[in-house]
Amino acid sequence: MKKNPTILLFISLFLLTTSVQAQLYFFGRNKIQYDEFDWKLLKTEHFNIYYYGEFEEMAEIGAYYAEEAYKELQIKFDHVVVSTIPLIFYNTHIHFQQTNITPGFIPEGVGGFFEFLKGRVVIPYLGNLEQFRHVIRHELVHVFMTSKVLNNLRDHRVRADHLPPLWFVEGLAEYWSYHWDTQAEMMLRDAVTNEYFFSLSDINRIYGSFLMYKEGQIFLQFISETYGEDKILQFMENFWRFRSFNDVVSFTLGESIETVDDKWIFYVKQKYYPLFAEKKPHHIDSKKLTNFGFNFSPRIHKTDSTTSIIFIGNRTGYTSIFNLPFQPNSKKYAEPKLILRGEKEEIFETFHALKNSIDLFDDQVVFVTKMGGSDVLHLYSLLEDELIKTYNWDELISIESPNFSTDGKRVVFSAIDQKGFSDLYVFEFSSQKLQRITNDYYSDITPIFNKENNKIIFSSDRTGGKFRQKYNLFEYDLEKGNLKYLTYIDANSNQPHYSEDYSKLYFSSDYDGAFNIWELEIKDDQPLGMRQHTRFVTSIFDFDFIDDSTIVTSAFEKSSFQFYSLNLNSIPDSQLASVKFDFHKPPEIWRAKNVKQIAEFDRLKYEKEYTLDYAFSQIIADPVYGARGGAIFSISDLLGNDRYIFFLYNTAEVQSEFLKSFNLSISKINFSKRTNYGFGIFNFYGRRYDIRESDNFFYERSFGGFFSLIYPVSTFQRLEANITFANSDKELSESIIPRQSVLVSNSLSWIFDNTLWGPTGPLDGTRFRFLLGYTSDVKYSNENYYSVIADYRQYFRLSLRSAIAARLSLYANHGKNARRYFGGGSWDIRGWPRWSIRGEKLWVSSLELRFPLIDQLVINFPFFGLGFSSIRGAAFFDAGSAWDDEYEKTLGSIGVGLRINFFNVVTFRYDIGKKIEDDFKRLQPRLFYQFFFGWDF
Amino acid sequence: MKKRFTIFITCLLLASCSKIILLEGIPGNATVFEQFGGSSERNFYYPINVSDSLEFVWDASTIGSYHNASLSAIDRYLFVPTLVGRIYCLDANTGLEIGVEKETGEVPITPVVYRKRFFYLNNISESEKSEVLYYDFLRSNVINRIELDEAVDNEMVKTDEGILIITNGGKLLKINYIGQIDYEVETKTQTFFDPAADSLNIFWANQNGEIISARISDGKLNYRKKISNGFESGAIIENEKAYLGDNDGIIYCINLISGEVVWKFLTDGKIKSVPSLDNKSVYIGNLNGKLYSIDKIKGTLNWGAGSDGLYNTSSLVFNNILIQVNQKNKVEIISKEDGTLLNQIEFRGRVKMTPVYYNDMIYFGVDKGEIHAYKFAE
Repeated sequence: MKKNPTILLFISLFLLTTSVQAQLYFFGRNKIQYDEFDWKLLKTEHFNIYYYGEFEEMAEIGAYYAEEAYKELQIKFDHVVVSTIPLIFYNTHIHFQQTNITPGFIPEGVGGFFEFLKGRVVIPYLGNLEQFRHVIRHELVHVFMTSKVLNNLRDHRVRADHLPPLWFVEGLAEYWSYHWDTQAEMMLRDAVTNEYFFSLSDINRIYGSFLMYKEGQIFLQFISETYGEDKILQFMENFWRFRSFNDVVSFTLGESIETVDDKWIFYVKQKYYPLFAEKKPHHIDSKKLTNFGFNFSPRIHKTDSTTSIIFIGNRTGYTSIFNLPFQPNSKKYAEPKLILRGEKEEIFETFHALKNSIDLFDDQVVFVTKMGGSDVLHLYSLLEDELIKTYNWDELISIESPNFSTDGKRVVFSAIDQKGFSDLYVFEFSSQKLQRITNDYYSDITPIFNKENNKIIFSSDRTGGKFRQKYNLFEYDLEKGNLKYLTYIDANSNQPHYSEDYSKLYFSSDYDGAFNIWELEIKDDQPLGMRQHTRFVTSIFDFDFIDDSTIVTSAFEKSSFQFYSLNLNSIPDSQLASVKFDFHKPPEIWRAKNVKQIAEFDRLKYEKEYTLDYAFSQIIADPVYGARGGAIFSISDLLGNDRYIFFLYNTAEVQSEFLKSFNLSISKINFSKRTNYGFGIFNFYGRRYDIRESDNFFYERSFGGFFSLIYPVSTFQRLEANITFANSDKELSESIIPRQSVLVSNSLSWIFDNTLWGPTGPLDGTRFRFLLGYTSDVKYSNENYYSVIADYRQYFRLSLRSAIAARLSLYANHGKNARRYFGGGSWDIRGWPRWSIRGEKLWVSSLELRFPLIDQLVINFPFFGLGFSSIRGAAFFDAGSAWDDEYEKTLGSIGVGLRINFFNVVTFRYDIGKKIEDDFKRLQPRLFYQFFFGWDF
Repeated sequence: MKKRFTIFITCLLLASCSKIILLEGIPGNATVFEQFGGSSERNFYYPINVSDSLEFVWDASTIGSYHNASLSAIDRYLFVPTLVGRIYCLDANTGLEIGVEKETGEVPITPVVYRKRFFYLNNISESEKSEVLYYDFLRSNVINRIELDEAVDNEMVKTDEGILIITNGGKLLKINYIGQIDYEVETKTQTFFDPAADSLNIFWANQNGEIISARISDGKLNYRKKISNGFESGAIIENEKAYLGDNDGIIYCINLISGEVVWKFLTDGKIKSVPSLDNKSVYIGNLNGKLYSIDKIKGTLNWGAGSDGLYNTSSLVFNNILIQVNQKNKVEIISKEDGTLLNQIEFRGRVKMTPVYYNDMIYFGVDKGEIHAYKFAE
């Protein structure tokens, strides 16, 4: 997803002065601050911890984890971070996504980040203290590593313009923050056994992926076991010696990088290949039901004649709900039918695909999506094919794992509240009553009702004793209010499911290293132990029963989540592993430590402190106009809510003009509330060229101010209002005609964007912009015109990676001295010289077929392995025209093109085609060739 | 016009050139701080009573920063090694820059001063190699350059016949003052350890946790024993005993002749510095920011004191106080009796170097190439 355009929008506004009808604008989704956070500050010895609302108890626990980690990392790195580290805690991921510290959108899978320009660490709490501790430690490893390496470079006077490669940076953060867990094990098992594990020489091919994190982690584990833990610190201490990190590794270990790589690959294979002796892949030991997309949370739906799987999946880029016919005997994969498309409208803004978030009772589906500033619960009728109702609660922010009672009258789910507590709730549909079941900082998840609906079985990390903080299964008696252990093992157990007849309770557990299915052994209502029913190499994420012995699983294999069906009784009893629980000594409850157990801390109110974001300066020498220079810099507060931008440059051509040629603008933008606003003042003077007016240069002095408001109605649509005042004195060079005006420009825009992007532009969805504006010279009446912009773009998906894109845009200024719009070039009417088509009215229409061309291209000579990915093709037809008073002629073009995306920063475009000339009567005799940059429309 | 321009350019070039290190008039009996710890046994103890306050005298800027090494000195001149491959010569009384010698790489360890020369080690950048350079400060040039095929981060030991070096790969070399390598002895084990020596033997330890002793005369190993999980610190020798700390935070007292462990004491964090001694005690800090005083004979705790920082350099020990560098931008003055913090000086950057007491002044090396000189308050 492309960046939030708000900042760019504001910068473009003041840079273009009276540019309220600026033709170059942004669509984009909206990052909304739904909540106003009352920030507070907790100061400890090494940290300033920012938190808000009722999160105090969790913030104190987080502060303890941070100080604990600091002490350990100080020793590991042999280094102190002398400045106080800002930690910003959000009490849920939904609130975390609203942060202004980073301007972009934060995907679901991001668990926290370290913003190294200002050294800020931003962490969401996800309801689980162990995971909270892990993320805090992970981000602090980044802080220490960055400080250590940059200091090391600076000490040696080596340019501090590079850090170790990302696989090492993230691998180190994982390796020095946490143990090797089930998720890491699952990832590596899958990658190695399915042969998509990458050696060091190829690791950039998985740049930024979760696999890369885990490969980095296991590489450091290998280094520690083979060469010694001290080598890891030495990599950083030797970092100054060589520009290439491979040379640093080679120097530190005393072996060539190829040898190290070979040894590492062997280490990994030696670890994972033996798994096949006792465990099997899913596609071998069960029947694969799907082969495409990502498929989660299967729920079996039966009618008299059919059995199908209702599930949450992503097959087109939008996570949605599907219905898959259950055809275990078919040789082909069944095609799922779309029930409800998500992520295109506000009510189903985001699905949480990786969490359990759907359940079924008869023909009713209950599922969770994000809507606005929190999660909501939807009730949907499969029979009527419509949404029945949507429920939300002010005090609950995140919701997951809904589960119907056996009579369908109630639903139990897990939710995170304003304090950050992850607890269980029961909601009764008829009375609309919400009952809170647990209320503490232990993480309670995946609850289900028993057959009589008087007990809730769930997974929780409240496990005490020697298996402290592991997720075990518990049973809560709704009538008596008792809580008892159902499992007690040194492993994580969750996803309890009763068999169809409710005679047996099954669940998934990572006891053998991956999540497999186990059965709880009970005698006289007492849990005795558990028995293993599956022995897969990689994890089962969720499952449901077709009948008492047949299940459908959502399992991870070959880097995807697919459905499989299997018979739980397929493994003979003699081969099933079994574990007995030891309950004879009741485990004591564990308590989280918090910062009160550390000597010093202070609680303060948050006050804004502004620091520099960036500063650019440049001096250029123009052969015609002489030397010019300027600078732009921005400051903002720690939370990124308030930003000031200063822009200063000088356009003097002779010494005498120096003072009056200062150009200045100062803007303030505020993002702290739902409505973003900005205002500023400017003073510009110098020679200008405005293609909206003529091809002549002219001198202009312009000063004034602007005010803008952006109100996001939802993630997909917003309203923008702008007003600009500008006193403008122009002198046209040739005829030395002065022209004064005091311009007031107003505009109101409505923007909508729910598009899904491919590598070079949108492939699905809709975006449009409608603008009404009015510009008037309030003093001299030199200008006076209305503006209308209507820009509509629709994308029709043909396949996963191809689409037809259509656009119809109309731009009109009407009145006295109206500015012109401009067209022509790679961005609209291709083939025609860029911006050569100008008029007070302009229309553009395009039809373009977008398709993948080359997925990966590597040029070995002479570029030594320079790689390009996602080279895409286009076939297009453009038409349009521009006029002032009378329509002249229609122009057009047809052709084909290539698009190459460079590092998601810029797309290069190359088009070949023919212009349609002479008012659409003939094709240009020769071809045109046009090269430029820019995203597809 | 042309003449003026030429003069201007010449002055500009000359101004940008570094001054050479040319030292004349050094008396034959000049005071010398000749190597890390002042002697081959290493010594950080000064049996005098001093004030618990320090007064600022001067500061000087060099380019680069420092390792946990120290400076060396002769007469009124200091030699400061930096991590950008330079050796600075400063006036010990004023901090004025006398000259600078430049190489490409880093000078991570203390130069050794011998008669009219100083010897320093440069780890060459973009290379696995290093070189030992002999600089004659009366002739102001490098008179000899010996290339080694490994990097060195371990302090050199000066003896009467030459310099002993242990490379990062664990090779022991003796280089005589003419510039010849007398012998090389391989141990084939990574070594990041500052050795110490008495008149007969050199002693060190390595990352495998082995302690090693070898004869200075011919490099023959006396013993090689594994006693720990690994060492990355340094040793101090006194009366046929060696004292050192390991990666698990254990301080050892070793019988230098037999290699037997006399006693050991467990602290709560990794040790990376060389211990300091006085008549009764061993003083050592660890990376957990804890400073310990241990009975030298019995190996029992006298006291332990915590701080908010990290200790990876040696303490300077006086009759009544310790001066300990805390990497968290400060120098601490601590009571020798009970470890109480008596005073501290805060700096703008990390204090990196092992401090040196010389010329009645204490010299500290701080981040970003600053050298600070202090003296005891009256």
